[in-house]
Amino acid sequence: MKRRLLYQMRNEWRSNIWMIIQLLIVSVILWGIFWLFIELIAVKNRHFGYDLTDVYVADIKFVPKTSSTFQPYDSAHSYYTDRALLRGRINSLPCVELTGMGFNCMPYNYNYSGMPVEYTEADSTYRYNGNNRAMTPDVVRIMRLEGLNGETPEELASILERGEILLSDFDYSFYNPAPGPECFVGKDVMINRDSTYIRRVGATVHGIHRTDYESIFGGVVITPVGDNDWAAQFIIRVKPGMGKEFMETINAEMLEQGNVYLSNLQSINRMRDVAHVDITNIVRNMSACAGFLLIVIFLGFLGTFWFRTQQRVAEIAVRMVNGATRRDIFRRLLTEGMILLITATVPAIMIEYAIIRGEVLSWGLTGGYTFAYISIPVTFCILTVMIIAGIWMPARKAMNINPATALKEE
Amino acid sequence: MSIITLNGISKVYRTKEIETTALENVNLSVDKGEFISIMGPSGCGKSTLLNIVGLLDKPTIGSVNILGEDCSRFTDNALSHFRNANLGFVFQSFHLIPSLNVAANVEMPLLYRNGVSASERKERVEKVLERLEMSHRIKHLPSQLSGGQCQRVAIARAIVGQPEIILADEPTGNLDSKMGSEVMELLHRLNREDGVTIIMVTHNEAQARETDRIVRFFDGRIIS
Amino acid sequence: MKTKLVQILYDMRHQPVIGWVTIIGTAMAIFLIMVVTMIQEVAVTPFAPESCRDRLLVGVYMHVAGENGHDGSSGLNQKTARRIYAGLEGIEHTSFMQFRSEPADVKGPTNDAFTVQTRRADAEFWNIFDHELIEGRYYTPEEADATSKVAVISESTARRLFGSQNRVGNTFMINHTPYTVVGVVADNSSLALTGSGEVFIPTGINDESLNYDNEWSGDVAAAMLVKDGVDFETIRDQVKARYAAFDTELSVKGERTVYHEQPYDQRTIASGLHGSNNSPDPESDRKIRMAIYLILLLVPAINLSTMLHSRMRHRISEIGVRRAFGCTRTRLIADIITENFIVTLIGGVIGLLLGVVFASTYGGLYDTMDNFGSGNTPSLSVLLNINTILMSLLFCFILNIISAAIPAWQASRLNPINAINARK
Repeated sequence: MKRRLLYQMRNEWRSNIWMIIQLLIVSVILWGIFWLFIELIAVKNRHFGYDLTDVYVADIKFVPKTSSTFQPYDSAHSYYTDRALLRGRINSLPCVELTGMGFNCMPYNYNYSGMPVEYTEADSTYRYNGNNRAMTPDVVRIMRLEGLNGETPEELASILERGEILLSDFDYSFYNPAPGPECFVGKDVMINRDSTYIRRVGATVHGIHRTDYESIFGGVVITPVGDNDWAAQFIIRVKPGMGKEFMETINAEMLEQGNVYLSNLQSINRMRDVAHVDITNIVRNMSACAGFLLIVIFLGFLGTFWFRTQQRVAEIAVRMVNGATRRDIFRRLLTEGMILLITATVPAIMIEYAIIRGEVLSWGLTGGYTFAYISIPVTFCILTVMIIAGIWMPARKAMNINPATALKEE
Repeated sequence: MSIITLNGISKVYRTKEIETTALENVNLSVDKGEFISIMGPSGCGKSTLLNIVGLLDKPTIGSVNILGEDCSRFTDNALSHFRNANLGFVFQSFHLIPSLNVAANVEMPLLYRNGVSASERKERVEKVLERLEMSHRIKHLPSQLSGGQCQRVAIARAIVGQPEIILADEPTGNLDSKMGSEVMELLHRLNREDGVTIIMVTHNEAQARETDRIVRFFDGRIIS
Repeated sequence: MKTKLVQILYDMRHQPVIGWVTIIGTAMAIFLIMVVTMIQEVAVTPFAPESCRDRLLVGVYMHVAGENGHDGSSGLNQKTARRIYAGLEGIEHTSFMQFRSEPADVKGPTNDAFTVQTRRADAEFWNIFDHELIEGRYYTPEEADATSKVAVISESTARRLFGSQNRVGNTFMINHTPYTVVGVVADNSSLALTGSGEVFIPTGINDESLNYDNEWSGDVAAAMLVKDGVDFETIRDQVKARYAAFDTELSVKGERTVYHEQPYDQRTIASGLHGSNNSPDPESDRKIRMAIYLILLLVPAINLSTMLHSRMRHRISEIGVRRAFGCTRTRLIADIITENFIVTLIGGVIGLLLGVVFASTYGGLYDTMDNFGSGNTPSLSVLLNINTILMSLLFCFILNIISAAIPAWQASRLNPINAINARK
């Protein structure tokens, strides 16, 4: 039966070749798209080592001394006393669990302030260069930041309280053979190449990423912020599930104290959405593209097989008369579709392999090409589903042919 | 005066495995205004001959001269224009275009002729349909007509361009005898009134006897 | 023409699956192509307040690299922006302004604070971007140079702050600093990334708040309205000369500028500026768009071609008869392509309409300033102009040609005798 099917397909070689070409183009494009999607899912689901549920962020602003609304300070007061009062007030709100301050301390902002860290030992200099994030110890507790060796947020916070700094892991695939952060633990390191700025590295932690999909992650240097240091961000963790209540109770007056006010208060989720806008757009566009191509395949198989069953009414009727069951008829059409898909998949895999080997395409979210290989069977399966869907209607029609009337019409 | 002259026509079909001779050294001359029938068993080459006269097929050897022109050297375009101007076709199974109504079917040959305006086409279509007593069916689709009516429309299509020659391939083959004789009557009328030359392939001995001349074929040759 | 329509309707009735596959396939392809086209149109077609787009050049960034490995880039400060861009020949107006608006909290006399998009710009700004003044006046060059605490605000901001009365002359707070309203402009589209805003406040050479440092770095850009008929390259040549002059000064510190093809035209801005330390690459943006068009045309064209081939298979004997009655090969090809073009157009019109509906209702398609109050979707005249209609017609035509060429050619090559006698 198989051989005869191939023979029959040879007779329709022209339309079969077009369908194979179409499947080939579509499967290579889909492969690339699904590769990205799989990679995104994998990256998104890795262990971040911090937790941002119920977290809110605001900008800390100061009324400038030149402003007409500036309220002058006496010697006992300053911006920082105002800020401490403001923080105390927000801390005391019933739905607030904890507050903290910092600058560039939260994920989802694009700050690239690099901070070189180095120490010299036995004539060798060890360097680490990360993105500087500065925070009060409470921010570590708010984020529930985890140490690489299982340190709890509380332990890490107390390290910051001692004035020590934290270093994060980074993408070794990009920065090999730089020394890992663990080489620096317990060392007194020079920061910003400033010989007066020496701090001890207290522990290694999970990195705070700029986006959940950050591709080339180069590490983070966490430095402590004290109560009398400048800070630009105000971080709030509300009690579980009380975010909505918090945003409803908070009003403009609560966010002001003297010459200090909080502006642009928003949930970290919103910041995440903003930070992910580019990637969301890419995913949306690629999904539209993939959806379009899948529908094209569906329509193509629907139309072509509809035409074929029409052409083969007599043949199908003869088969039925000779004992073919309706399921046989369906299976035969499906086999035909799958042969087309397999024929197209073979060169597609070769092209995909060439793309991988030639490093023509890389989504750059992770090192290596594991997800590119996983995408091959995924693409095949999804195309199979579309082909079955496309053949379904014509096949139903073929199965419902009444042999007697079909042959009589001939 | 001869309107069609076939000189030493042979037609050989070659495929990889076999070589079939459909026509062998056929000479035939048809006079203007003549109504001839071609008879012979199936596969004797009479359809091939009709196709060659209809300029739809080219002979392997020999020359085809129609209306004083040597048609064997025509390009495909020239052949198309020549067919359009001078030849009308009537087929056994009518071959009307199912999607088009009677008027549009009849109008078709005029579309391929330069310089016939839409109003002129309409006028000529109406005139020819009136003549063939099909005016009342002008808006109907072929599927709404009987076989005899279909063949009348097909004949209207064949003569709307006022060709010199009509080639009819078993025009009554798909019709019952009553309708068949109506169609034959019509062809005779056209031959008589317009002086159109008609070459008809038929299996019907009685119909053939009514024509001016019978050419009998056997195995690719004219036997009488 | 009429008979072709009749034929199409007949095919739709008798081959509905093939007909629908054809029309849906075409509509979908044209829909997506037109959405891509319209996104591009919205980014480059002139509309208020950026009716000047065709004549607009913007100097946005400065990039300075040093021999010591130091490398810095950002917007310009007040002084450097003027030193590079002020008084260029062939320019009608130059405005020193913020290239991107920024969010700020505003508070009226009675209500709670809310966030709006503010933009600092000098008085020339109003000569370049065509805002519609509803009430009051624009701030003056003197006010701009003095960085006066006055503001021009949009209609909906005015309504939110003050209601409908006593708006001009009234005072409100921007980030806790009082400003006086001098003018109210109509709400403007946030799709105009360079010219739009909800609150405009003056800036001038003395406005230190836009300077990051005293060397060259800040948040000032220069928007220039080029005189009619002046080639952008002549402007860039002058800018290059100014860069060179700046370089001599920087060379003392072992630094030099990196030029990055400034100032940018609207097309370049629309293609995306890849940060202050990279050259924008409108060419690669265009190539990607062309690749998308190609995929969107080619892949469905294969289907459409197969479908047309099927339709022709049903009409083989008709083709034979037409050939017998004198239809030439060229005519046959032309007829098939024309007929198919009508089908493509039907699908194309559906696709275009869907595209317009989608593009005018789904604001998420476009780059906008964050969370803007009004007019997030483009007006119909931007989406459905002669340009987009011609584009969709062109794409229909291309789709038609690539899908119909092979089946039409095959049909014309049929032997009329075999065709006439072919079974359906």
